[in-house]
Amino acid sequence: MATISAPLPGIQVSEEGKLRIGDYLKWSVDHKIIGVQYAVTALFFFIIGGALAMAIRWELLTPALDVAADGTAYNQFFTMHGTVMIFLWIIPMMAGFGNYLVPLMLGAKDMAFPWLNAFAFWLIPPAGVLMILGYFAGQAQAGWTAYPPLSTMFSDGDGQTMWAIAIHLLGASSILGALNFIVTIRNMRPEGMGYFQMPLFVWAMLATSIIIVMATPFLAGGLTLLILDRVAGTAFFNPAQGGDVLLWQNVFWFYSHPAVYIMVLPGFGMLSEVLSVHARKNVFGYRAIALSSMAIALVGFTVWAHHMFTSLTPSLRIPFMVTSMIIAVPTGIKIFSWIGTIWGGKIRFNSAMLFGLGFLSMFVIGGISGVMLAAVPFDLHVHDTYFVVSHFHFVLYGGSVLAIYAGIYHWWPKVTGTLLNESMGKWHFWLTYVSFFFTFFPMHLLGMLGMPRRVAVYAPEFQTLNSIVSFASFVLGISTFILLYNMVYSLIKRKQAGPNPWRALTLEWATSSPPPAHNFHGDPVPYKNPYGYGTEAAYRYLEAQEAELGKSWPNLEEEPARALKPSSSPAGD
Amino acid sequence: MADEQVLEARAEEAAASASVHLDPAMAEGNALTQGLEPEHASSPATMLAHSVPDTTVVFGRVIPANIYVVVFGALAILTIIEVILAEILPESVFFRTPLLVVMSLAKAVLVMLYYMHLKEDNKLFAAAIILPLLIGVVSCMFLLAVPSTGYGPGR
Amino acid sequence: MTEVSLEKSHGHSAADAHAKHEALRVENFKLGWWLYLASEVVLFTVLIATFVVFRIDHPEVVKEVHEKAGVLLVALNTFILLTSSWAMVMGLREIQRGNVSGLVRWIGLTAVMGTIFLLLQWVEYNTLGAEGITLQSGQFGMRFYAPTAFHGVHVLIGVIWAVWVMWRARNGKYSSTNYLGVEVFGLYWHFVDVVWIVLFTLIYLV
Ligand code: HEM
Ligand SMILES: [Cu+2]
Repeated sequence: MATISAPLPGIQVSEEGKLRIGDYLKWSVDHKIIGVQYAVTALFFFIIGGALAMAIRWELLTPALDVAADGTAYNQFFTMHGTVMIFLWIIPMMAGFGNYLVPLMLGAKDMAFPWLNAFAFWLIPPAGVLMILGYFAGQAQAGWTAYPPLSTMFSDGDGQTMWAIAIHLLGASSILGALNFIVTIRNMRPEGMGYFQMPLFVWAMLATSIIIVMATPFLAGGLTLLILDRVAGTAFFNPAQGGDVLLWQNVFWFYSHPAVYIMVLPGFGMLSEVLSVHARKNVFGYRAIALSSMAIALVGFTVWAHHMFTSLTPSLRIPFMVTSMIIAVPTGIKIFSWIGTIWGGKIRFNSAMLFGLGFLSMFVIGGISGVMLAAVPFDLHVHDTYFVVSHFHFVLYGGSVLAIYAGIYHWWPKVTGTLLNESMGKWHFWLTYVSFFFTFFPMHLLGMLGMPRRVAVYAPEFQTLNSIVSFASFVLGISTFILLYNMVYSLIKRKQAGPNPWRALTLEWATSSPPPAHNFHGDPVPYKNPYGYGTEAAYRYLEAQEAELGKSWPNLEEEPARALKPSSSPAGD
Repeated sequence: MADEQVLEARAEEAAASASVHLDPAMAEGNALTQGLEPEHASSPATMLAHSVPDTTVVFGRVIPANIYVVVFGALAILTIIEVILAEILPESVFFRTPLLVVMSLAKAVLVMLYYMHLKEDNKLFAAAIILPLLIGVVSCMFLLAVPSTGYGPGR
Repeated sequence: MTEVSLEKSHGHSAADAHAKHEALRVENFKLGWWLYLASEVVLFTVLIATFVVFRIDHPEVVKEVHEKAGVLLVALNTFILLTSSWAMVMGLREIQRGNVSGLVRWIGLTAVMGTIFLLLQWVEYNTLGAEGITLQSGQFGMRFYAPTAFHGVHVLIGVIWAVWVMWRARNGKYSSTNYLGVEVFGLYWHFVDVVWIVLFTLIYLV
């Protein structure tokens, strides 16, 4: 039935179907391997970016210059930190989840273009290496936003050019990956799964991919001009020779505002899965969540100039303030839908769920400070201060990264077949959650008190708050290693998870863990409503699945819901 | 039941996407091709072949030439008119620019509809190309609205 | 009505599956390719926009260059590209009818026209360069060369691709049932043509 796809060429799976580490180090067109490759590469860069964050915070422990040799060195720290975190950690990590999960959730055997998929991944390591090699050529130091003239006249090293080329490659990778997702989602759904029966993570990936295809080329165009300015002697961004300096800001934010949704929408998707599964409850407002992603994707193209309130013609400020506030509405819809989802559920407080709830709470703070920043009068005051740094860490760390953590705890059993240690997971959560809050919340205050961002030396009156922030950030840094240790530990311990440890209804669980090379044993039949938990029918479905695939740990003795709800309604209705 | 409708809709969608090439009116000319590819000959994939009839209907009139030639003619004529207009109309005529832009867009649309087969192909492809055009145009307008060279002379 | 079933449904023959698989492959490729073109639209928009904004801010500079350079050469070039596009679609039509040598001939014409276009563009660049309009000459130069040269690179890639399609056609890779490769190349080539149609008006005429 369902999807027909080509037999996968070139995958060598040993007799037992077990994958060896070597399989992950070479070219492969299997989406599961590629997904893991993305994730591991991204984690590697997360560690690099994290180390740079520690350097930044160490520098800011005292008002004087102590770690960085000079201001330039500090500029390089935060430039690399920001770029690595965004382009080499969050975006590839989300692509990794997408690669692993989308075909499985659709009951497909692979992505639409397996070869292209591999190609898109293999653009990333060279780009990352290129960016880091810039260190030997005068590292980029113009911030991740690379505004000219900082990135043109005031960056002589070749590092900035290498940086631009690396971002170009990463952008290309991301576009190729995204069009693969769109085609896969549109053409490879199984029979019986319309758009409104898709898991919400798939919806989120669809919206993300549309944004990537439409927005990333703006960045590519801007980078092309930047590279020309740097190497070919043009002056697109130099007003002295007839260029214009705002062009970059416009083009950059045409991309980069939509890009914040590229970074967070997949997280939203993961959150919908995690909350529903572990609250054992139907998602509240399925259609609202699905369509608000699309709304965000479109409205996201109309708000970019809120990053430019201070450089913009004053008459355009109000229109962009209005659109920026409008875009908070679909996000708010999601938040309330998630609260509705967990409301009255039989919540399992395991690590995945804890991180999910952590996301929910912290992202709300980031969202609210975002609306504050969208208000022109307020933004004019806190623009380029630590308030902004605080805001985007609440959405990026509190949002995307916590979502990624939730996703890791949730899908690790599927990917590896083993379980992560729960008590370590809880330690990880609580340490991260608390130290995260104390790292980034005081930055709001610092910003409102007037501490500018991107400075290595600051006024002594900010010392106390900065020390609190720095100490908390060291704890935050260390807490990450609990997760890494947990991963290694679980791979050594090999506590078997079984096919469906969370008793989830989406299709990625309807196969063994890890899934065989062709993903499913036969053609999987999707349950009508991927979130129809707590109903008799869902219970029977899971029972039948267990009979077919074998038992799972923790072998939850779940009661079938007594009240026979009208369970057959598909998710969309 | 709702889910049955969904199933049906899905089946229709699948059928629609499969039948993109199956327009029976276009299937003549298949005779030429029978047996070229033995392993396909037995499968319905043979039906995927289509070719274009040698007459074209434009505004209800049958034109005895194939559509590609007709479109090429139209493109050529439009281009000539465009160049001539650009040369003779003085800069000051207010409709000069809009007229030229509209003509070039008309040409672009002709190529996309007939040469790129948007006319008969999946409408999704059209959507895929129109969306970025809209976004692009909107952002261009914005660039025009901002005094992007700064606020100094020249503006 | 059964609520739950893990049974497979039956009744698909292998040939059926093959045809469906083939149709799916075609659909996948075309959608993917259109999406790629969509992203190219945005990329070209950025480059063309730099020119358009300049044109509106400084009409006098653009006018001066237009008067110096004249429109004849580019008009000719436009015709050449239009012809190549037409040849392309005729080639597709031939292969849809199963005529491989027809395909090769028409695509050959496409490639030749593309090459002539590039040569004429080179001539044009040289004349402009002689007038002192270069990439580094600021103002007009950079905004003119960036989009047109970027388009030229696309033509160049297209010419190489055309030769490759011809080579594959000669090796019997295409038939009346299997011409996806030609079709996808066609989409690319027409797209490059469309970009030029717009570029031509915006940069040389307006
Ligand atoms: C342990 C975790 C982290 C700490 C302690 C931290 C700390 C900081 C600090 C203090 C700055 C401001 C530097 C300055 O303006 O002088 C900064 C900038 C930034 N951070 Fe982080 N960060 C962390 C994690 C992350 C993550 C996970 C992301 C992204 C997903 C991220 C993205 C950024 C970006 C984009 C910038 C702006 C860089 C620039 O100004 O160009 N950070 N970070
Ligand atoms: Cu924004």
